[in-house]
Amino acid sequence: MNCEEASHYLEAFLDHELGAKEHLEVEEHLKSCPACRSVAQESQEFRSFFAAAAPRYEAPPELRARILAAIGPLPPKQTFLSFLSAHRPMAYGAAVIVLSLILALTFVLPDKAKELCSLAVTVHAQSLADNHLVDVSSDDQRVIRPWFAAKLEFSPPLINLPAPGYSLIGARVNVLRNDPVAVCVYEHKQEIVTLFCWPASIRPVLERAYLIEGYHVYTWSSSKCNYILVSKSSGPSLDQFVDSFRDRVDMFGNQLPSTTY
Amino acid sequence: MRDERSLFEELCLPHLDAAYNLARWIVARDHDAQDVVQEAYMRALKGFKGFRGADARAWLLTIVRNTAYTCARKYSHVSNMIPFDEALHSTPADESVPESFYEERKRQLDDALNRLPAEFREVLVLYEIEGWSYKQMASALNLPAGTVMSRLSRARRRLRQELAGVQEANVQNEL
Repeated sequence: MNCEEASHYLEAFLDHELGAKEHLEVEEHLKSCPACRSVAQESQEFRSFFAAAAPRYEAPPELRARILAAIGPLPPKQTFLSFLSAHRPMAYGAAVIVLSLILALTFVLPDKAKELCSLAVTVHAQSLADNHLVDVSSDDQRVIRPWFAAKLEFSPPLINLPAPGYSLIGARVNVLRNDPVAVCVYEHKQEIVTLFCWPASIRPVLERAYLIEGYHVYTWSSSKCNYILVSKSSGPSLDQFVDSFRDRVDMFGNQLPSTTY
Repeated sequence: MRDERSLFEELCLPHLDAAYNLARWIVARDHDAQDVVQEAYMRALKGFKGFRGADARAWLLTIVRNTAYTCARKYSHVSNMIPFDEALHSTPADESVPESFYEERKRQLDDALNRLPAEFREVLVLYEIEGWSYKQMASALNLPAGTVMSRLSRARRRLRQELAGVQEANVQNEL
């Protein structure tokens, strides 16, 4: 690759958006070309500045009120009884379906989910015992994202600092019940917190909290992914961790990211 | 009906800041950005029946983005959405409070961003702040992936040139 081509691909290279072949070629070129290396260095410096200084605008408080007013009030609630009398045959059918669903959810799914959580606890404890926490050690999602992309068919959401005090130390891939899952490992007050994540289409989980073998385990689903979080201690900061994921995930759903060019 | 409407609020209102941020980046004026976001939420509500995707934020932001462009065409007096606003572009006359170097560069960055074409600002905010991939941008902006790559690259280069120009001018003023 010559300087002109390298310069064409440089920004995409720094964004980790090139295909493997081009990525290697740019990398090789940078090794041998001090001029392009210095351009890359400048670009990196600019990126850090930009990431910190780029304006982030918050919606003015009145905008929310304006929008709520513009989309109008909620339509009035139909009373349950008036609905029933209008749709009696349908209501009986629906009642049967709802009842069976409730039974299924109460008695079947949680057991399965708890089994899965126990598995996650075992994997978590094993990783601590083996001192094999991560396969890729980084807190930079631009490093972890392509690493996952090479190993998984879905792209898990990555958040470096889900709550104060939790820092991402790296990632690995595990298999839970035959399905590959993305594992993000965080450190919090010298304790390891493990987050398992896999596509919601495989095996949806309910929102639950368990205490298994002395570990606090949380499960929840977002629109695209299921999560199991395993932590030795719990508290408001762990709740914040979970909330933060719930609020911020899903920019990186399973359609993502393509590294081909 | 009621459920759908509640679901809309539940899925879309939490992204109000992101929606406003995107609109504000593209149209570069607070008041226009508010109009764009309000219009976008109206459109989103109308189209919500058709929304079966998993990613409400990306869906909503795509509507905001499209609305920003149609609004800009409607108010053609703001032409290509590169407003030249005296208040935005002149250096503050009151120099009594000295800016730190970082604050000064940050303000220069804001000014430089305002001088970029909206298309450049758009890819910058989507990539750098929203964290979209090239592929997501290509699909939302309806562009070939290669165009996204070169547009983002040109946007960064142009932004750095604008900033360098400002600094050069400052040096010359001091001489």
